[in-house]
Amino acid sequence: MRLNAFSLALKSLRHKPLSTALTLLLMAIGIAMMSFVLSASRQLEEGALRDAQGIDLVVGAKGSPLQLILSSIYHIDIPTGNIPLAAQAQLAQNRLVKKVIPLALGDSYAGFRIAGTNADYIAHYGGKLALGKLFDAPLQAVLGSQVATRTGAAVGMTFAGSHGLARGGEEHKDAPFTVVGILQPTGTVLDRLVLTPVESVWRVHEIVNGIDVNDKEEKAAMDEERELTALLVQYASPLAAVSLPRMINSRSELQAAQPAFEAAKLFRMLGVGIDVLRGIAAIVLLSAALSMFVALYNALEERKTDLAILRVLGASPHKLMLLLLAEGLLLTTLGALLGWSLGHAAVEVLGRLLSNDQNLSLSGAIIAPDEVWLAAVALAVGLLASVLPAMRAYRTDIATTLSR
Amino acid sequence: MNSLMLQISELSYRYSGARSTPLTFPSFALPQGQHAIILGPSGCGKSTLLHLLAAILSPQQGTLQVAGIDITSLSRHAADAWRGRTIGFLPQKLALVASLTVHENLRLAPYAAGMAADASRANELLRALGLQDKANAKPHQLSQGQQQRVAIARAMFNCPKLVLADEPTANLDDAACAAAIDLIESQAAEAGASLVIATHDARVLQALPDAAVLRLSASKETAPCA
Repeated sequence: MRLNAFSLALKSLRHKPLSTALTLLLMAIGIAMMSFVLSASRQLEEGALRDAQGIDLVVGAKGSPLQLILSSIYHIDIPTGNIPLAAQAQLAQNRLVKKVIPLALGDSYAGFRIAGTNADYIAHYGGKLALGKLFDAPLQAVLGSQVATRTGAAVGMTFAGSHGLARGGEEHKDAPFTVVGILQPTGTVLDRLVLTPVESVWRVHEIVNGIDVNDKEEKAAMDEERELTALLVQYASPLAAVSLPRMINSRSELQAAQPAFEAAKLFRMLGVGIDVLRGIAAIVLLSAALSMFVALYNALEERKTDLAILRVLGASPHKLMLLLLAEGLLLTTLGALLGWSLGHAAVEVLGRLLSNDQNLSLSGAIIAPDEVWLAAVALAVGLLASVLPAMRAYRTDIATTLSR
Repeated sequence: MNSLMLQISELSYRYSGARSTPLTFPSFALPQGQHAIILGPSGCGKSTLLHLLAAILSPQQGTLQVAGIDITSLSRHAADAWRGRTIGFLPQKLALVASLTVHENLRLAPYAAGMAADASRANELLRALGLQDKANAKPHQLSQGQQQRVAIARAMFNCPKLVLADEPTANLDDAACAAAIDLIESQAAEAGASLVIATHDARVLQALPDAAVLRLSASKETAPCA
């Protein structure tokens, strides 16, 4: 191996395996925490923005606006209640409204929510068929990509929905769904849903409750009482943001929640936790820098004679300084790479654990743009920790050291 | 007449600190190819003179020419480069780098001097010093004698013009003392270098009977103790 500042620094680090390993570990933990927080929070934020994109307003039953947003856009909370079907037609006629997408929730399949809706919902998220066709009749289902992968369901297969939005609900065996299509992955909430016409949700509960759908009187009575869970609204013009929510909220049975506002509120709340994690990571990183400084400084004391010999052999003070800086940078780079890998492995593990809840999607393979700063931070930490020992190496007094 | 390898005139050096007394050294000249012994009791300035000859220290007064170059006029950077290419220095402490193998310790010489590393030169030196089977050994795996031979090989690596050895026979018995001086002299001759040994050991005089002798004393008028 050719001798240069980095190969000599590497040999020196390998000569003190315990001290090197401990410093590396501390540095790696700091960087791992930082990259974990950056990557996970970024993915959650981007995922949330993607799912809410293009939806200006969510109309649902009175209750917590955040709960309405979480249940209707992200499908991670229980709905606030139901609203009359007539509200959809009334809103659709409003000149301030461009598009209204209905949502009827209540059942699930293998832990994935069954969302009664129309083709507009699939189009809104850019859903494209991988297999089969879109639903065109009640009790037909189109599966999101993740649902199909996780359940192993195929086109033509039938399944029974479970009552409720969590696993373990009573199965509606008398009203089985038939899978007619499977969607390509979109990276949105669509991947985690079982999509079916709104009528399916009504039909299932009519069958379960023993209502004869062929009896015209019974059907007419049911039609009057039809309900939806929520309406996803797209404004026709920005002016709608001013008057439409107020107009809807003035009606006693409806509430309008703005996803942008509620999501911002949610991230403000989560942000405190994220900031705490970032703070802890920064403290660990600072400890790593201190530990590296102590390790390099102590090593310098032990290696004074080595450095004096190098000077006797003709090495300039700059060369000695470079040697110490190389050692610091090598430690930092190795620690940063190790920490970055650990951080992303932790995101991947968390993503796999959370995938059982079918709510959040996290991948260790996604790198947040902010992580580029981590490299700069790591480099700065390495330089800061090694600059003082390097300066001391620069000032090595050969004569005194050799005379001791 | 031989040209001079070494010429010292009215040389003095004072360590920093209010209480330190200046060390003064007698004028001295050494023709090329000849060897010299700086003899004197401990603490009389022998190591200081070697450090001055190697341009590790810079004298406050006097002239100091090595291989025809006035080294007192060299800048710090130029002095480092000159030392790496001209001087082979054997410190009293053998000071092999513990994290490097014997072979790497030898290649440290051209690395430090900014010269191209020649692996065959390292092998040749190891063979000459009977250390070829220790090339990949770490210093702690060597005996004291083997470590000294590695230090000698490292000092000779860049084919120096002047070899400076500081107390090379300290703590050696008579046989080991004679062997060490013989080895250093033969390697210096091999490299075509002059040899200057600083010692308080009178046995070195017997081992190098033809060497010029520069006697330093602890007397304040000539060379007070460092």
